[in-house]
Amino acid sequence: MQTDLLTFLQYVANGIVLGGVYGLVAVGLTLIYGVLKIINFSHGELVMGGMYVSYWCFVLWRIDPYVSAVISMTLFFCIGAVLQRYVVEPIMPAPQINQILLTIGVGLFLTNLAMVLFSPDTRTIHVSYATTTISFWGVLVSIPRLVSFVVAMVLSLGLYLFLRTTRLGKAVRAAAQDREGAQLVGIGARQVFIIAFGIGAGMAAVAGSLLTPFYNVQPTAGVPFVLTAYVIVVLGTMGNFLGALVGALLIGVAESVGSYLFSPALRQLVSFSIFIGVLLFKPEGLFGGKAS
Amino acid sequence: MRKPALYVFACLLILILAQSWWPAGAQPPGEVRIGVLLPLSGPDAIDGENQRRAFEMAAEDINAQGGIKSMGGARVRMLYGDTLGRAEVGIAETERLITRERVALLMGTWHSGVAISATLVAERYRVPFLVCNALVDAISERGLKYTFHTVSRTSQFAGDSGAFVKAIGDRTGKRAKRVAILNADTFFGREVARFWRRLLPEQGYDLVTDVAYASPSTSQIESILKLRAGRPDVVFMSASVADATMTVRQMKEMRYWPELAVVAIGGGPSHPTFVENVGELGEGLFAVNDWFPSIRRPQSKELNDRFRKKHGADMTGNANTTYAAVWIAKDGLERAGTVDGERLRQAIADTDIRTGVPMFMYDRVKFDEAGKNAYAFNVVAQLQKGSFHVVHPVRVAVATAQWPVPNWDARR
Repeated sequence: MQTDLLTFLQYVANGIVLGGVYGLVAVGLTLIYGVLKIINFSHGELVMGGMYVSYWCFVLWRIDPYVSAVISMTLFFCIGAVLQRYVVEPIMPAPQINQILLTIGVGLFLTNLAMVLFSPDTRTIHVSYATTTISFWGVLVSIPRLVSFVVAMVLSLGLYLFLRTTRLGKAVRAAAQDREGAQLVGIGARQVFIIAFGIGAGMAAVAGSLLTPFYNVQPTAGVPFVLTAYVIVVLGTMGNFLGALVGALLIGVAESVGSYLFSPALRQLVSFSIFIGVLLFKPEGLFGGKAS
Repeated sequence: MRKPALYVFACLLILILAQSWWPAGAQPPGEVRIGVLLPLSGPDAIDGENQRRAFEMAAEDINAQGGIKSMGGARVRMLYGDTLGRAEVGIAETERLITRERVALLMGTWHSGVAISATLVAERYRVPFLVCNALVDAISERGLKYTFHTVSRTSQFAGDSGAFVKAIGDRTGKRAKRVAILNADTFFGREVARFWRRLLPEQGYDLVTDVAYASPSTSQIESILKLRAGRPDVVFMSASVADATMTVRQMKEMRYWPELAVVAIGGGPSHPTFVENVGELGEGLFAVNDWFPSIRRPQSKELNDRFRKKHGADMTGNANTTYAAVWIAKDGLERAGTVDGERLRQAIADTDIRTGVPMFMYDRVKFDEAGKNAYAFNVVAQLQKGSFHVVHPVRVAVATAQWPVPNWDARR
């Protein structure tokens, strides 16, 4: 009985840290949606980009991924801003299906660019703490995963405070709520959108960087995380990133416990069943209507 | 003035169309054309390219030795069809290679799904097809007369891995009883697991855990917890490079290792990228495959060195079986002395090679009634000091197996 409980808690703990990783990916996604009302289907590729930044920083200059996370955040903030200004902005008045196709196209381009530049080989970096764990009363938790979990929490909270308290944050929220109204009171909606997309892309890249110590780097590496992130974003109400965080933890635990009850092969069955359930019975998500 | 131009245009059009309808003519004298089907673009292009290099090297080697002597020294020429890894494209390319390029025989296809379809096309046109790098049993289980399967099949990977654990248990006295299956929920993974489920109990093991995981996996911890709960002596695993790396790393994380060993099968765990990625955590892992560069067989080392020098990579991932198969085809062409489909088929069916180049990985090459190479077999290698060395069977081994492989805490 004692060991059974311990095993179960081990699954739950694994689900929580896995959820932290998912959350990190989902927060950027939901921010972009909340502000620009665009579903960014190239988000996984931005995550992958962050992975390669950290990979090469480590291989070439021995820079630890937790340090290079700052580099990839900065770099991808700029890339995100450029993407918004020159690729997404021209298509913003177009129907949503066009925007989806555009972001899918950007994603395909980035994946194939990575294949050309870096080959489709899977790569890993060897940091000393890659497989270290910490034991909570016999429940083992991977340290790099725990770190990514904590960073996800801190970044989301920071973003939340940024949007609530700072002038720029308020401008972002105003532009998200009513673009024309915001412009009337003197907020440059274009600049706000550029910044929002930049932050979203930067968050995706940070997620990628934090994944590198314990995950494989390859051109398609972002895909499995982003598929789940879409589910999380819908579950936590699209555009609400505290909701995304709660959703990420729920999905992480549901996948892990689902693997325990059924089979690890069916983990996505669990998350996508939740997805369908939410769409059917509560399409506005858990925090319906209260987009921050 | 406009009418003559129209006539000329019409004639040209007819000529162009006719050219694509009429067969391109017989094989030019002094040349034997071999059609090759591979994924040369698309997601698996890198594997296809690896095979293509092996085909090219084999053709160069054969031509350097004087080509097909019974055909007046005809040179071997490879003509490629890109399948993109898709069956319908494979079918179209097979048709093109047969009807337009008039190839004497076909080889390939890397993807089993493509092989299943493409061999049917070859059967219809009565052109022999040597399947030299696709593993599913069904390829040679359909009574096709023109299909020959040179590689060890999926069922053999399952059977040989179980037989190895039995043999090394007898040799060392540390016998395994409880075993677990950990397989990727992919086509190859499911196929092997299906055979494991049947063969392992037949070989006298208790199958205590049977876990499939979604690939590519974001976490293997749940699978590892399931393994741990079953307390197996040996874990049999199928995995891609990425999944295998994650599994071993998270086993270390969870401080879990089975009582005796982990035996992995297929291209993923024996791939050089995996060895590089997993680092010293992989030490002691067993991999089952049809060949490894570090093996005691004639010419194996020389051949691998030559391939390495040319392409910067080991001759693994079926580049070896492909290279050997071109020499098997050469042997058939030599004895047939013709590119006539029926006579060439008969010559290949009569194959019995006991010397020469294919001996770098086979003891003998001979096809049974179904067209399977009856002497295809797998060897087992262990990751020791950063590279795989064959440890079983003993007659081709270059190293002694460490058995059992100690738990994480017991390692230095």
